[in-house]
Amino acid sequence: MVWITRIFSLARSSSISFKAADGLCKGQQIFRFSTSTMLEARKYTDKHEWVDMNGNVGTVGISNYAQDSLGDIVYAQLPDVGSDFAIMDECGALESVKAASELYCPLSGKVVEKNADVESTPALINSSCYDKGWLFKLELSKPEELKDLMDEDAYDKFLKAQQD
Amino acid sequence: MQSILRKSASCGNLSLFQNFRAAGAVPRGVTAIRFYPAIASKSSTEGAEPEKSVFISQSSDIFTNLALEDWLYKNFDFNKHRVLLLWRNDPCVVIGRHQNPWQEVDVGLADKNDMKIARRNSGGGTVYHDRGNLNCTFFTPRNAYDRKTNLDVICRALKRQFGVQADVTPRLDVTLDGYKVSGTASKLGKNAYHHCTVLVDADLKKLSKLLNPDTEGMDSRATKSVKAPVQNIKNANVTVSPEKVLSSIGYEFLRTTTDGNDGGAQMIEKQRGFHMINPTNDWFPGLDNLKAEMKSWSWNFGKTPEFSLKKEYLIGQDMDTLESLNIHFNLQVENGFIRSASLQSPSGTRNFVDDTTLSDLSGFINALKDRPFHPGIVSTFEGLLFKNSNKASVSVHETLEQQARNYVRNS
Repeated sequence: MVWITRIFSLARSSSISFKAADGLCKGQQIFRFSTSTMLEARKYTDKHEWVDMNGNVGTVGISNYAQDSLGDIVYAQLPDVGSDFAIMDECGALESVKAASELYCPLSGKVVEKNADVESTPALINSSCYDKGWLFKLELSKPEELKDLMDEDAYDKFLKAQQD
Repeated sequence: MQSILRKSASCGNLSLFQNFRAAGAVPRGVTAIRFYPAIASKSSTEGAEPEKSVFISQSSDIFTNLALEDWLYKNFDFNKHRVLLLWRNDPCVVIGRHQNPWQEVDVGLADKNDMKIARRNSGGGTVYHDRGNLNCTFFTPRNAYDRKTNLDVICRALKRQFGVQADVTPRLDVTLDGYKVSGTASKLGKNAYHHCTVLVDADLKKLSKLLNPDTEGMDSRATKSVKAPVQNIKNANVTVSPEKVLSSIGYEFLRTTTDGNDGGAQMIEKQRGFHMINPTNDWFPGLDNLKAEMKSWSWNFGKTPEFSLKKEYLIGQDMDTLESLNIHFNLQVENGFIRSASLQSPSGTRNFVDDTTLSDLSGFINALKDRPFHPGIVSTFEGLLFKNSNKASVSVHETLEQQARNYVRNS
């Protein structure tokens, strides 16, 4: 009986912390910057997604490490064109070997295109994760978030640190 | 829904222990914890062995249990506390996240028997649940997700308690004498869970009736179930019951170390033990919203990957070429709604189908657009096409036979 009470009180307490956390998010400000149309070096997230910027539009995919650890991908659920996401929102899923892995939006923005080839042939993500296996394109609403992503060197170090 | 996701995500980093101590008076500082654990989660699992709990859901409603599972996945921190949720349901069918219910389940039969169809968040194929089937959900942080270790816990429990030798296959099924007794699926995000069914004493006749629908002409990219012969564990040992299997798996989980070794009976003492869980909105704030989402048509049927249905019906034979004449009935379904419907009839159709029937059919086709898909649509179409069924089919049949006789005589 003691255990029961414990769990219930845990559940209750976490609801209280929700509200406070929500308030914190609302306080954040939105900045807008214009960007050049130069193609920039590929950036990575700690969720193993990559972003290639072209002007204010980023092409998003998953890294070679991610496709390799997922195994054969049998279904790609990509975000709809026109939908808006905040950074690290869940925006889709990839299914492989009975596992559904969430896709996280690497930056805030609006989806302007998705890769229909990947929807019809999800194996492209395994065979060509940086090229034909791209997932969607994102028009950034907060380009300043880019600076927090890793470049190739930093990502390699991150992978090494994870495996150690 | 979106707001729930965000809210839940924001407290994902709180450990259960912190939560418990904070109960009643939540320190303001707690909310400043980072959104995403990133690499930090790895170091936090080092050192002390995480404690373990077995949660036993007191609900037998599939939507409530799926909502509870989702709630725990979204709100708990499993770094210092590993949880095994054990749950059973009243008869229902559960499909994988990216599946087509009409391709996997005889939806008409399920409706007739008042059987619920539920879409879960994890991948994989379709399973049948009833009170003779036990479901186990192993929750971990994402970096500690390990399906093989979990399934080994189940196999060891069956061996230790009942002397039943079950094995884990490379596809991560658990088999007994070559028959599947457990199906696995999982979901990975900030946390991870691996859940599986354990067929102890389920109604396998119902299972095979429900999971073999007519899918002729249906084409989609949805994940297909891999069919496998199944059996109940009770076949191997008649003393086995779902309740006994539940407690044996629970105990085995508590005595297993996180790297999958047997820690012995004394290890059970170090754990947090068994907890009865009453999944209500009072105890799990936001649960009702998750449950409503799980119950909704838009989730269970509306999330179906785009598919097409192509049916053809023999109506007669061309008098000159002797080729068969077929009427084609095509549907394109997106988000569970019919986006386009078409009827193709070859020239010469009028020799076999009267004008009233044709106009009924085209009226029906035109009315289908933007309506939710249902397998009853196909039988309605067939009913309209063959409404004078006996008379029409006899005459078509006679004509075909006559032509065949002529064909043989002439050649």
